Amino acid sequence: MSIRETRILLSDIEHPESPTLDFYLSGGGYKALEKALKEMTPKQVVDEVTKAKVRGRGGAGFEAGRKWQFLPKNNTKPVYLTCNADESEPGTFKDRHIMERRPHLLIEGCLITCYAIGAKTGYIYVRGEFPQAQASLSSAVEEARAKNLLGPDILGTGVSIDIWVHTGAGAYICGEETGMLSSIEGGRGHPKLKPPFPAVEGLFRCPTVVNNVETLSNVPFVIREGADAFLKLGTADTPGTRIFCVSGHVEKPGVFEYECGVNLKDVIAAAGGVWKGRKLKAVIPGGASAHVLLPHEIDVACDFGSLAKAGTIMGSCGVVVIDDTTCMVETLQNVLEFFAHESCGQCTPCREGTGWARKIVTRIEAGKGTMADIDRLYEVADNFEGMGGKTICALSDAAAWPTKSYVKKFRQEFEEHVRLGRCPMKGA
Amino acid sequence: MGAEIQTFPPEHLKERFDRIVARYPKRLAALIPLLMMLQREYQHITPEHMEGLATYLGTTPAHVLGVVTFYTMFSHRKRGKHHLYVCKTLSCHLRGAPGVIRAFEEKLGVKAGSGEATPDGEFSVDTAECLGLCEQAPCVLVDGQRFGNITPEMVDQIVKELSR
Repeated sequence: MSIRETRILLSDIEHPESPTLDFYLSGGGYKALEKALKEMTPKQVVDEVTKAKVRGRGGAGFEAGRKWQFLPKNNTKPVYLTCNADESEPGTFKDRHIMERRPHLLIEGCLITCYAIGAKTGYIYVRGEFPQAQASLSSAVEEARAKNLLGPDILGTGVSIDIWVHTGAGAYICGEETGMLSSIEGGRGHPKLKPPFPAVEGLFRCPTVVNNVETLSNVPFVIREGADAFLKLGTADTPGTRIFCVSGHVEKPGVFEYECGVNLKDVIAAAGGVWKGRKLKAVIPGGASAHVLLPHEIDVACDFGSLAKAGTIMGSCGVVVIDDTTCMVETLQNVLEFFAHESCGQCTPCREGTGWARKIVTRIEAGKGTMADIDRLYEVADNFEGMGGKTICALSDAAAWPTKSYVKKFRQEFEEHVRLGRCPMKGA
Repeated sequence: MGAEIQTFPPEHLKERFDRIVARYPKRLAALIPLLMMLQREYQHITPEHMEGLATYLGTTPAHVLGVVTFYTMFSHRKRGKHHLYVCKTLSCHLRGAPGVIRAFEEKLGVKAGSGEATPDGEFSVDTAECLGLCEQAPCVLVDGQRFGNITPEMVDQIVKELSR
């Protein structure tokens, strides 16, 4: 079935003037900020966003409004907003499009959120490999400041909020919320044990809200149009739209914004389907961390609940399509090289485990593995899956999920490598 | 090392440094943004930079060293004037990154990730984990500029363009 995009986040991104303040204002930009500051109390803003059930678009799907409500009452310390723009999950590039093409949408979302949570300062942590996004955001901040939409006494309301663009320097783990806070504080990007959660003790040991770029970019719509309008989009499980990043073996890779609940196979068809007339072999639905899906498993609605039921995750909506000429052992090797490289090294199961798994899969791909290695690979991953509280953060889970699902779903291919003593996809 | 230390921050960066530090309630928070500026300016982070930054931000050189070694965009060894990050992860890998990486290595005569620059100091090559440009896979980031949908045949042209 051919499907239609619903663009509330990506509207007019193709327009050459899209990043400018004038263009954003001409489309009703900053009206939501004005409405929030002049007609609503911070609590009303929090309630509206809570009612809209805006689930976290970074991947975990936690409701933003509920997160905001975790801030301690009767707090005397400064409160901070930190926007997670460290988009690094392999196969994910949606936040980049928002930041480069609609920087004011994100800034407006940050300002409204700062007002709602009582923060006077917000930091947008943009990964170091996104210089264009940093430049686009920085000039948008200056434009907004010049028009009194940001800075002291915004629009004469007496509310003062500053937003700063902060650069990362190359580390996937800084996309983990506490790793990001460590990084902003000027340290190695080490995640921290929770509790205390950032809402209680976060940046500079002050109450802090951490939200993803796409999550915050939904806030202006919710405030301008109301929670009910937002709830009309998507599904009861995941209201609103999501930006799908489709890449890999498709004809037209790119970003597509659909209401949640859209069928995964239609999303892939919209991206032109499998390239070169080849057959589909596998789909990764939510970034490299997600459990891989087989062709008969992709007739599934894309929201957090439905994809969880299908045994995978919606995650970051990074949809990676894999054709039938691809070696899945080699693909897992690539994924594990990534996770082994990005493990921060604090926790033994993750630091050692991801390295072991990488070595085993490399051995199998090279035709030097044994049948026992296949089980060993699965067991090692099962061991470093940290859900039992073995590790500080979820990076080891993110490495375990693909590992276990590739071995389970493509076991024959792993066995063939062992039997032949070489990669069957690479010829004799 | 006192005698070797030049004025820090370097005169031409001082104002920008001070402006960045002022954004944070704690000076140390400016560390990574300042290191990024130094890396861009000098193509590497020297012991003098680390010592200077430590004093300027109120921390120890050891702390700065720990940070420099954690992030892939910092380097002790002087990188080429044009440092190429060639993406090697998933979507790029699926669309031919290994061939692109090889083509850059052959063209420039340096090994990706070795930290080595070409003898004239113009180029160095690194593989990068996912650059978030997957719709343009395979891709390269260099001098803050990106090249997408690269084939090995395009490598000559890219190098020529950068040399200009």
